[in-house]
Amino acid sequence: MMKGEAGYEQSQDCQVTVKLKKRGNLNIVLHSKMEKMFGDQIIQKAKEELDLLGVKHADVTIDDYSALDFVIQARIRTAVRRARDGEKDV
Amino acid sequence: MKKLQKNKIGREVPEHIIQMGDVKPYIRSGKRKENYITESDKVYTGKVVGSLKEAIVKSGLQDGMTISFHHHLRAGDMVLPKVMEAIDELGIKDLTICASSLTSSHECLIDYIKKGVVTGLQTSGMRGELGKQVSRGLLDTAVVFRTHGGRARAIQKGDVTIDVAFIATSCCDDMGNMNGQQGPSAFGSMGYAMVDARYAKKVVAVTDNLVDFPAYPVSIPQTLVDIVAVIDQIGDPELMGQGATRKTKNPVELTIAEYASQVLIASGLIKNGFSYQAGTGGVSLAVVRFLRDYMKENHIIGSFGSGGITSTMVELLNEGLFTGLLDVQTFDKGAVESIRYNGNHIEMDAGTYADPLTKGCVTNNLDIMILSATEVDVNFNVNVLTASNGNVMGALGGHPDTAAGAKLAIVVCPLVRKRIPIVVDEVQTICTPGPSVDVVVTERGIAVNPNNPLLKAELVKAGLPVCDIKELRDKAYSITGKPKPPVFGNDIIGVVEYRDGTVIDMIKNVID
Amino acid sequence: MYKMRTMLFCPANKPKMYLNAPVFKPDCILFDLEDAVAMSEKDAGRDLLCKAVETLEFGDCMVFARVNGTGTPFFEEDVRSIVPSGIRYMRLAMCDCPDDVVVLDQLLTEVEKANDIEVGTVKIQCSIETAKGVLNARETVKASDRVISLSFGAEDYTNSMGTVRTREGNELSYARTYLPVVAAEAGITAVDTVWSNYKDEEGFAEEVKWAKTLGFTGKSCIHPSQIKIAHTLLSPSAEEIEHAQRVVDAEREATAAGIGVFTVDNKMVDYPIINKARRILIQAGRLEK
Repeated sequence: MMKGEAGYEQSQDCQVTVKLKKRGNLNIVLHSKMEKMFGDQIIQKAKEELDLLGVKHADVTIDDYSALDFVIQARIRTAVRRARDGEKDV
Repeated sequence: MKKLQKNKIGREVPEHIIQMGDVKPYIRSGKRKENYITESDKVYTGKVVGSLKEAIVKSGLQDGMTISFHHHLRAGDMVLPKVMEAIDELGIKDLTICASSLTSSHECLIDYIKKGVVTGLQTSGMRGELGKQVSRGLLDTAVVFRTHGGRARAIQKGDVTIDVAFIATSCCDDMGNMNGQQGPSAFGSMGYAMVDARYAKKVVAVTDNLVDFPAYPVSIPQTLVDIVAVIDQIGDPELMGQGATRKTKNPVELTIAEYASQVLIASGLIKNGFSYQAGTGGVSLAVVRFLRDYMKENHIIGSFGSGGITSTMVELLNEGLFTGLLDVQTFDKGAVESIRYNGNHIEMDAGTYADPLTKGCVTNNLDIMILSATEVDVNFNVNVLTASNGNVMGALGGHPDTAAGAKLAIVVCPLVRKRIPIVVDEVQTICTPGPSVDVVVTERGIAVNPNNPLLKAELVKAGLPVCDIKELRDKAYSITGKPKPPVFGNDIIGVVEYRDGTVIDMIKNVID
Repeated sequence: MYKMRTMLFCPANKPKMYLNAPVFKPDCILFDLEDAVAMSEKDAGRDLLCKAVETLEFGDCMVFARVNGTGTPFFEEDVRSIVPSGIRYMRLAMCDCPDDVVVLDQLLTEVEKANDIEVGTVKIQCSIETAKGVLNARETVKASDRVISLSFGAEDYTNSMGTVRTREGNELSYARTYLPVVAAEAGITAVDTVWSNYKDEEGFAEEVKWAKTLGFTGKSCIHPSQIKIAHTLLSPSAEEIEHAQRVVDAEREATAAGIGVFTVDNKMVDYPIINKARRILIQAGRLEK
């Protein structure tokens, strides 16, 4: 299982951790002060991005610090690539 | 032949005359030492007591009464917590607090509400944990939220009767002459408390600075004061001036401020003799700095600045750009210095400031008011009381009073705060009704109330980025997405009173 | 000539500025993938920039990306990833010689073809920031038709000269005098270096005035507060516009009356003066090109 991380613990940013798995569900865990207001929207946008990247089996954690959707998607993209690059190195 | 009665000093007086109705015969004799407030209720010149407990006992405070406090010490207030502690120790319960506002220094109320010491709140607003818990049904009774003008009106009209007013003063003599301008805890204007002093049944001055008679200047005179309680400290000077007078360097806020100042100029209202209320907060104060440059360049002298006064407005007074400042609340040290030494910096009570039922309040004479907003909606309604998560976290202040009174009321706010849209479909709580708001200025566009087409034309002519308020809402939602509204229950935790005493909205409990 | 009075620097890996940069209305926004992004974060900076360009509105601003120099391991991936996302203007860091531009030009052509973008769409600004770069500038800016502008980078330049930057900027005189001449000859826009101490607005204003005198028409900005100052100083003043209008009006009347030589404000007006007046009116948006 390979792991990739991206983003910073800073206002309007988010930290994303992606653990790629061979099988199993796509689990997304979100921690955000905005969860009640935007939780569903953030999870939806995260799923869209992961789908675009062809990620089907992974544990994804998003620690959100009031980031906009484009930031969350960009951090997911970077974290997934880093996880995959890690996989290649092994 | 009129019926006569003999009074205590032996003279006969009529029992009834047309002008007076029943005539009350003189009933006491003695030295002037025994003064009367009412016939049955004498007050000795010995007003000074050494503790709050003594003061409370002497005031006759009983279960179920209404007491009042004021927020002129803001986040540094120690008077409310100390008075409440003493009340609790005396075992008095079921009180209603009628406060001019509640700040972060008043979180102790949570415990007193839980214990049943406090069972009702009337205030301009509240913040922090208190607001959060009240929003979750901490109280069994609905909070009455009043504007600053509305509170003065309610007290004067008798909508609320204050049994005991506790008034913090930084300088007081043994007869109760007091001000807020001198002493180690000086805070400036006593505007909000002046109304209570006139109408409360009992007035307790709470001071940490008992001076030789006579204390001067006299903001509240001895004629209105029953008891003088001396304590160690009334306020924390560090916390008293916090926040309100922040000079912003935030480029987005500066952009909003610059647009707002251009709106002012384009409106044509900035001319000799205009009146202005700046409000507080980074954007509002930055607008003042832009305005100041324009006034200097064009040799314009305004008439008065009013409301809560900051050192930024004091600078303009000192530079001769305004003739006078009318001060209901003094926000920082610089402004306290000014009200103490500058005769043109004038203390003003809350009734004179904003009471709509007086024969003339200052807000109704305002040309320009700069307002903030927690949310604005497409009908220009403004919320300054509840946050996007449903919690009470702000205050009405003079917002609805000044918006209604000013010729031009400008709301300045960012389109988006972090991820939260500020221009929305419908505000959660209507505090200031849309018809009294003329312009909404954001960093991404300026919306003019459609009932003001001439102003809109002027702003367009001046090349300002004018757009429909719905466009602003759409821009905001396109950036943030549309947030899910908080979940509310069916309990009414508060009602929002408009300045005239009618109820404009209500607030329900938040469910987590 | 492109109107590029201000280029606002924004680190490509910081989410905050993406939303607000257009609010300050710079002529250009420059998202920096080079010095502002740590070596280990270049991938993240690219992803963020791409997503932002795909998602956000930037109004009338020209959106530039500063890509890492051709000699770096990041250069190729920078270009390959950001062009498809919609970036149409690039500042190429460390443009030392024509070859640098040629390499970028060829890569852009390849990427444009692969993504169904018309060849030549993406434009280049050459960032001249070394002694070698300055001396080769005349040829460098002509190495591709894509080049629309050059910019001067004083920090690396002084480093390459073994000198340091001062408030007065005498150490920059040669490059600063030379580069606007290069730009004028090539018919491209010259953008001056950054003023790092953004709190020193007076110093910034002085530097902009000096740069304008030398022939720069744009300034790189590192703080939003610099934009308004630069716009004011780099745009024709009300007096300049008014005078130019009178010159152009007088010329029209003279031509109509068949008079060859005429005066404005008691000064004889000849062609260079008329052309300058036209240029000012075009700049001020009062005259079509």
